[in-house]
Amino acid sequence: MDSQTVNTSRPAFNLLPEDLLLERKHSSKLVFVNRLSIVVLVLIVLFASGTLMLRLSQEAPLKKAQETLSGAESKITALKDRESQLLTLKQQLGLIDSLSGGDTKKRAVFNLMVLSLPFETQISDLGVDKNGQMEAVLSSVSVDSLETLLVNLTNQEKNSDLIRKIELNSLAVGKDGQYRFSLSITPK
Amino acid sequence: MLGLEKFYEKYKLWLWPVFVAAAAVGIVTAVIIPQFLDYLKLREEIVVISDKSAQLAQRAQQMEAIDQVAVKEGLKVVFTVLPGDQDVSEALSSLQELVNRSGLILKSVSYASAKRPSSDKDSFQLNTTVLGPISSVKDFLINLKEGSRVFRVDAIGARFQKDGVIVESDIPISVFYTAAPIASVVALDQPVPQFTPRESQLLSKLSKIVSESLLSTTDETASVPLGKANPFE
Repeated sequence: MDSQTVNTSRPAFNLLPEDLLLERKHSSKLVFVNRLSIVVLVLIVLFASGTLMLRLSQEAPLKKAQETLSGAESKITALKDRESQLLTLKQQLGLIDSLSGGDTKKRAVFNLMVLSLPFETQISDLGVDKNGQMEAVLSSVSVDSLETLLVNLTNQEKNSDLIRKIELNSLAVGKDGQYRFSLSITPK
Repeated sequence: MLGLEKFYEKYKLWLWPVFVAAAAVGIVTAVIIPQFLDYLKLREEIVVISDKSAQLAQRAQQMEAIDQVAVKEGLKVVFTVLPGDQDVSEALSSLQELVNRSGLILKSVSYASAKRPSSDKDSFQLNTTVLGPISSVKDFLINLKEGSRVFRVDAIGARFQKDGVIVESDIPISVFYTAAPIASVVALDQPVPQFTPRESQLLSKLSKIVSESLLSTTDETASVPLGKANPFE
């Protein structure tokens, strides 16, 4: 209340010259700008130090990770023999498996013929070549046996879909009443 | 000098800001950006190395789990079945055993070198002639799969003898051998090889065959008369 009274009662007068006032104003502005610049510079330097520290802080984890990696690699190297032995074993097993399966067709064709043979039919001569192709000369007392044999051989349930073609090459009846016939069997 | 003072007076307000701006640009381009990029690069590198370490550690664990004793036993078995050299005598004795087991008589065996140009596998041929009923020949062909060597039937010939029961059968058989293969190296990023069920089955079958074969050989050796303990008695 008093000050209002003073203000109203005593009007303020600035008696300093205009130039001096302007210079003071400029000077204070300059000081403010300079201080602000220094603050910005300090902040930038601090930020730069921060990034440098951040970068340097990665050195230790990197070294640790590299040590772990080299440890794991040396462990792997030490165990390499085990793996190569296992691999050799697997390769040999694969080889044995592939070599053993090379004659399956020949055995199957031969076995099929033996199993399909009717009781009264006899094999005179039989041959299975490298491709599994069978040539057989057989004899029987009746043609029915031949028919039974052919039915057995062509029965897909019995031959496990093994046969592609059966050819009756010859059929003859001898003086003794025996039927002689020759067959060619081609597997699939 | 007066000009410089004038210049200073005119631009003194901008002097520090310009200097600071220039310094800031210098620091950012020379320090902050390279360091930050380095930091990102290192972080990525650490992640990659850690992943690789974890992968290798897991692989090492898998490799440690390989039963070395079983693998060595398995190698013995496979190199008995598929030896590094011809070992004709062993093949003959195995063949003889199979002929006997099938109830056949071994009439003759002849050896022939049969290196096929189309095949890279080493083999020789035993031209075998056996005598017996045709069912026994069939059994023999099945039993050949149970031999302590890898036998492969190349062809089958059978002629019935006059009695109509006994068959004389010519069976050329390939017997295989091979030098130990050089195991190719498995890349570190690939999993440790494991036995497939088929391989495990084959290995156990071969182990059984080889142990039985060894047992029968021992029995045969034991049954050979050794003579008197003291020949001077």
